[in-house]
Amino acid sequence: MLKRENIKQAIDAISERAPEIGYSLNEMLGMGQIDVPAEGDGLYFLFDKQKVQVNKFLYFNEGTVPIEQGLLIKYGEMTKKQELQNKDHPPNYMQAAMEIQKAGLRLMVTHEIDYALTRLRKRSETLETNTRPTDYGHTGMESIETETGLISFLKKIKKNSLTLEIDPEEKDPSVSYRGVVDDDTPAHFMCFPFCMDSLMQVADMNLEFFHVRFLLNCLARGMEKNLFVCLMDGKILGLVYLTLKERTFYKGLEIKYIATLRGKTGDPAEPAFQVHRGVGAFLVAGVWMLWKTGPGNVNEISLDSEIGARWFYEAVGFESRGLSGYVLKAPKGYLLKAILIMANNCRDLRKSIIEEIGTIIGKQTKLLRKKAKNEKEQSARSVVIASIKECLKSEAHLEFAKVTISMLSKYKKKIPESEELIRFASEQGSGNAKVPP
Amino acid sequence: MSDVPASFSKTKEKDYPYFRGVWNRVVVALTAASFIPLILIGGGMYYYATSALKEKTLTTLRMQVINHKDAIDQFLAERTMDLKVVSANLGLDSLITPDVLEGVFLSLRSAEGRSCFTDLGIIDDQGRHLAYVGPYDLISKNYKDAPWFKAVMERDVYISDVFSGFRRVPHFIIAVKQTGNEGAWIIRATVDTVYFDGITSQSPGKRSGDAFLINRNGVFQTNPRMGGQLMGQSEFTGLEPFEGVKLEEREGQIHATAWLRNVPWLCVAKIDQDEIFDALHRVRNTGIFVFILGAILIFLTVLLITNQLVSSLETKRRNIRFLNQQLRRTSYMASSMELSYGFFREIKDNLANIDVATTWIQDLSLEGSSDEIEKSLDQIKSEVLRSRKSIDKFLRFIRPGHPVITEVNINEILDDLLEFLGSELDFKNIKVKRDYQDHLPIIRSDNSKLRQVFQNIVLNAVSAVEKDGEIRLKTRAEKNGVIVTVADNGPGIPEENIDQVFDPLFTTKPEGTGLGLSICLNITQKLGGSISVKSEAGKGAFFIIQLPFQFKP
Repeated sequence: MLKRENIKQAIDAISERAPEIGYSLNEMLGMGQIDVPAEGDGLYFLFDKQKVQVNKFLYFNEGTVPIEQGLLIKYGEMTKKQELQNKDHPPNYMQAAMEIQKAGLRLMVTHEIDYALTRLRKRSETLETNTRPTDYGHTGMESIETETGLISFLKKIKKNSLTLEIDPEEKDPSVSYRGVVDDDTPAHFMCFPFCMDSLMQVADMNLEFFHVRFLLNCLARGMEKNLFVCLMDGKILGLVYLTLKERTFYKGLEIKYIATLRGKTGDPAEPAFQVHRGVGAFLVAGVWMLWKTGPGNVNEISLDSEIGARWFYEAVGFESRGLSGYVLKAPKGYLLKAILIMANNCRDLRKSIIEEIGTIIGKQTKLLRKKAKNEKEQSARSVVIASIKECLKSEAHLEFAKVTISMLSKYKKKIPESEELIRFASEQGSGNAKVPP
Repeated sequence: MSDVPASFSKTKEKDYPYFRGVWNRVVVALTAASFIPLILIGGGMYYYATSALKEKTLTTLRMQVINHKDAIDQFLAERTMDLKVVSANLGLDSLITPDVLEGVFLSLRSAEGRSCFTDLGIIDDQGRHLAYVGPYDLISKNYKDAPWFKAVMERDVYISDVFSGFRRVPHFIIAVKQTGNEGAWIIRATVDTVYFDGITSQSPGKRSGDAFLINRNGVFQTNPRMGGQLMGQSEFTGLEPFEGVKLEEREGQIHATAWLRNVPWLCVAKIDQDEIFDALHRVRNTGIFVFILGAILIFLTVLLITNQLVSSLETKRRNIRFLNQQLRRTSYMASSMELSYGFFREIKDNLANIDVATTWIQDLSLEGSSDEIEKSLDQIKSEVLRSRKSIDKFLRFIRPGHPVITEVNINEILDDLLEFLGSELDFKNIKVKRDYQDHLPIIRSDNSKLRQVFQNIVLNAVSAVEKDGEIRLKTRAEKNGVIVTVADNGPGIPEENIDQVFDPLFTTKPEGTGLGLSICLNITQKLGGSISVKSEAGKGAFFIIQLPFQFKP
């Protein structure tokens, strides 16, 4: 449970950066308009009698940051509401509600950008002080230029109000891979698109790990290339942050943080987000594709996760290592399907990757020989069949269909669904793959 | 307590008895908390210091007694050695010659020329005096039956207890037996008791000390300074031999005893405890003095602090009761405001209905209605609109918004306020002179809070001037911000109250809360501004509010 001093600490932190907002929040705290619940276990506070949920994970990891952000959002909403109330003509309530919500998010993001700008300016000043004019070597100048570039980029974000949109027809260079979520809705796996809309979306999602300050820190530290999103129709559905783990004779790609709207630990009182299926698998598939298409010296994909997510990771091909570690051996299940869809949407894949995917699908097809004994196995079997169908539908890589058809033909008697799948292949045409009579 | 209104100070309810219990408990608790550690630490330190000092004193005494005993032992050993040397070197033949014996007797004198021996004699193995030098006529005496003679014949060397002998005077002798061609013979010397007393009576105690020797039966062998005489029976009986020095406490005295090595005499030193433990007593007395002084200081501090604490509690309690009264009043006002809020909302709805109805009538009588009716309907509509605006303004005043820093036009706030107070000002026939700066710069501040500040100050002015008065409002932009002055021509603030007008709970009005100006000061300071007042009795009051252009926390 939060205490008043926690709220006060958060307000003090805001006051240092934005004295005007700090004043208002302090006054409201003094008047009891901002308060903590008298009893109850939930991690929330009351702002003008409204419950503001604080992300528990963020609070224990980052201290008052989620409280600060909650206060800023609510403050922004309050000022907008006041502004609308002071207008003479009655508002359009639906539109007003949206405007109020956006104003809160925008204020919070703007505040965080200002804070990031302050830090960048300080860093830039330090760099200038530490680099004597005679020492203006290549690196020193480059660092200062980078800082200046970042500052102007952030300023641009502050001014820009464009919505986040990707044209599905055009080949956008910022998009790494294209896939689907919810079985058939196109989605994009791409580097985090830094703009006001995306940051506001993240602020609204209130995900574990991925708060606005973290994203801006990534940008400031030059780590934004490790931050990827699943974007569907201009909406961010999930984020993943990668790091490269390097030891002697070892280089591994670690999924440091991954969070999706589906996995959001929210309060039932909060506005419900539309839940999309397959976002987690989509993100891991994107990471797998990055691994395979990237430099060849990375050994594996690993991650640390809580016990609760064990089922998901094991279902998509991760194997447990150590207390809470997982390492991806061979993708299977929904992950394999997501990889196949991404691969099908990517025409210029290296031959080795196509072969590797072919091998994996071949092995998965082989597994169909074994009959499902329970519901869980039956479900896994359905996913494999769906993956096979993706292979058979593939127009970009005929090799997938070839491998699948040859495996189905080989184990025709042992795989009950083989006939149906071969028929499906004939219907699809499956390119030049050799469909047996 | 000067800031509590006089009417309130007269309350008959007394707080002190309520805090009497608190006072007692705090005094007892603080005293106990101070004294218990003081007693424990002080007592412990006192015990340690006295034990160490006592031990050190007794060790010193023990050493002194040993030294004293050794000095006596050494004296007797040296005298015995003198006799041995003389008898061994000179031989019987020489010593029985009167001149030689006298020469020997003289040579045994001390360096100061005083002899430690009273006489000297040579005695043969039959107890007959062969030669004698001394003040007594003892040449014809035979010592064959004397105990000392028997003892020396047995042991070769003998130091006797003190006895009277033939001369009937207490004395003791040192006798040495020699055996030569002529048979056994004895050289015997009587020790000068006065000389010997001089050695033994050197006591460790300077004022009250006594030192003496007693034999195994407790008979004095030297003259004690007090409580006995030579050859008299001492208080010491049943003496048993022991090693070293024995210390006993008896009747306020320390008795230190040690056996001599060469003779079975007990060396006794008696010293008064008061004298020997003098240093210890000084330490004890100093400790007690410091303790008492510390205790008095602590107790006084406790009393002072408790008095201050209780006094502060009394003040707080009175203020709380006063605030409670104000809170009740404020709560009543707030609920009334809440009710009036609902009431005005209803009026506003009614006005809306009237507006709709008027429009409806206008629509119905669009054709064929007279200009009079048209005009009247228009007038109704405009009055309804005006009333609605007034109500809106009023509602905004009674329900201030959230404390948000926005752009604020001071002139507008003052105008709104005056409009709001219009009927009150008209009723009292108060003239308001507005001296606003044109295009007064907009400042960034808290609109609702500033409204509250100006409302308080202007209302104060209104209540001060009463009827037919004048209030002057002036706004000016200066280098650092905007200055607003509110002046009235009321009775002014008396000089003795001018420093207290911004103090919380200070009021001169019987119905006043004493919080208005204090809140104004608090708000302006929070907004980075300041507020001050100038006044002369009979010439009105002059409030100056300074606000920065930008919010400065």
